[in-house]
Amino acid sequence: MCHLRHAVCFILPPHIESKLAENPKYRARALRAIEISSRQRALREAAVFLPLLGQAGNKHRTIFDTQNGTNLPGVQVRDEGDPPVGDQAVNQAYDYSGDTYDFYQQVFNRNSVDDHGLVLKSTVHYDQGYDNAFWNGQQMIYGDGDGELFQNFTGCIDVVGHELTHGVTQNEAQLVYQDQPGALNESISDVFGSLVKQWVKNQTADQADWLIGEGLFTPAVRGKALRSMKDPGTAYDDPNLGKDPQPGNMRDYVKTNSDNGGVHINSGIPNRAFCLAALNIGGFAWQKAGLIWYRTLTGQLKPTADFQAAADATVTVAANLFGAGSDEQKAVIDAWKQVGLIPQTVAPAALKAPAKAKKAQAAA
Amino acid sequence: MQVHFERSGGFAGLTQKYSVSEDNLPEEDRQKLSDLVAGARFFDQPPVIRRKTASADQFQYKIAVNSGDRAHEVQVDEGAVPDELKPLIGWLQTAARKR
Repeated sequence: MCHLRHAVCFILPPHIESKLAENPKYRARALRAIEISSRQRALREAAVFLPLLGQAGNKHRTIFDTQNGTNLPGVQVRDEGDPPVGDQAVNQAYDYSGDTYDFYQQVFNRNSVDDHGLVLKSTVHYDQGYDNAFWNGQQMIYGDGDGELFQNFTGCIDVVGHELTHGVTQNEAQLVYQDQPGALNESISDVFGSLVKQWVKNQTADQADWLIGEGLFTPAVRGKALRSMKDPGTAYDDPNLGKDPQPGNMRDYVKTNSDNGGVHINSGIPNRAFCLAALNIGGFAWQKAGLIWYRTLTGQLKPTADFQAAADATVTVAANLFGAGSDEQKAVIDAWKQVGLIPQTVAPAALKAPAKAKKAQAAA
Repeated sequence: MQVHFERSGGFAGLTQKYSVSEDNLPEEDRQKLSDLVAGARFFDQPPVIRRKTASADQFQYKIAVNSGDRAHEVQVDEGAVPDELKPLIGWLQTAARKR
């Protein structure tokens, strides 16, 4: 039974076409029919998980100001629908969290970080000279930077996208923030933070700079950004900060007990895998590579998933969405190989279909 | 007394290190540091203090103090710093930044 109104339905089922293929007279035609119907079947399966267009979400942003103190959340200074205020940090947090909400809603039909319209709370001007931004499990918090090495942390859309994505991961795979699962958690935040930026700028994978935190450093720092997804280890080389320590291959994996086992360091490896997959596939990175990674995050990964599990899962998801042996799946396999991991294709597991898609299926 | 301080993690994933020997400090700072270590009940603190709830991109602090025959190291997450440790960490943070 076809789910789509304009589906192409084939008269002969695959087992009959296979039998025909054994006969030289009908072989070429039968093989072509099998190939086309396999692709159509894969697309029909994928269509179940396509966003239901036009479904509205609940975007609700609230911005707070701790006025250089640390008592969260602080004073409310802008709520959803309020006009811009005089404080640029407040407006940036408002605008960029709105862009991130819109990205998830329009690209993946996700209604906020919990998929249930959770209010997006941001606190700005946290502490004094605070050179950081973080997600505390409930909201985003942004410092002003120290003015010497770092500027204001609300100034970069990918920083905002990165922090909000920690909220998404917390509601989905719940990747443990330590060692490889933690580095995956970090990478997923960089991936979707970068995709938000690319989506807003309408950039293809080729046009994107694949940099994280460009514009965070002051002009005094010798560096273009905090991280490079395309070329981990090349983002900065500064006398005060040192050199970008990120590896881009498993052979250079960093074993450390700082930074929760190097979660911001080893994220370079899966970051590069995503970037390579997106470049290999071509076009807009959020459409195929981003979809594969999103379905992996929301349907495949366990909290203790390591890089190998992520490689295996993305390859499985790529097969389920685009077909085994598809260009998309090959691009993902090749990307992981380039960073030193050999994905194992597991038996095609039923994807965890989003609840809304399941209801639509039942109604069809 | 020797103190070694390290801050890692955060969004930038940078590691900041600072080591000081009280012999190299002016008298005023030497006294201040000694008071902060005492006030922190440093040698009674557990070696690892972790956050109990999920968070991401916060800092991790590592403080090691060597004083006479006593040596102790404390690793603590930014979101879980006990109040009595805060003044010591704040002082070390400022000293690390000034370097």
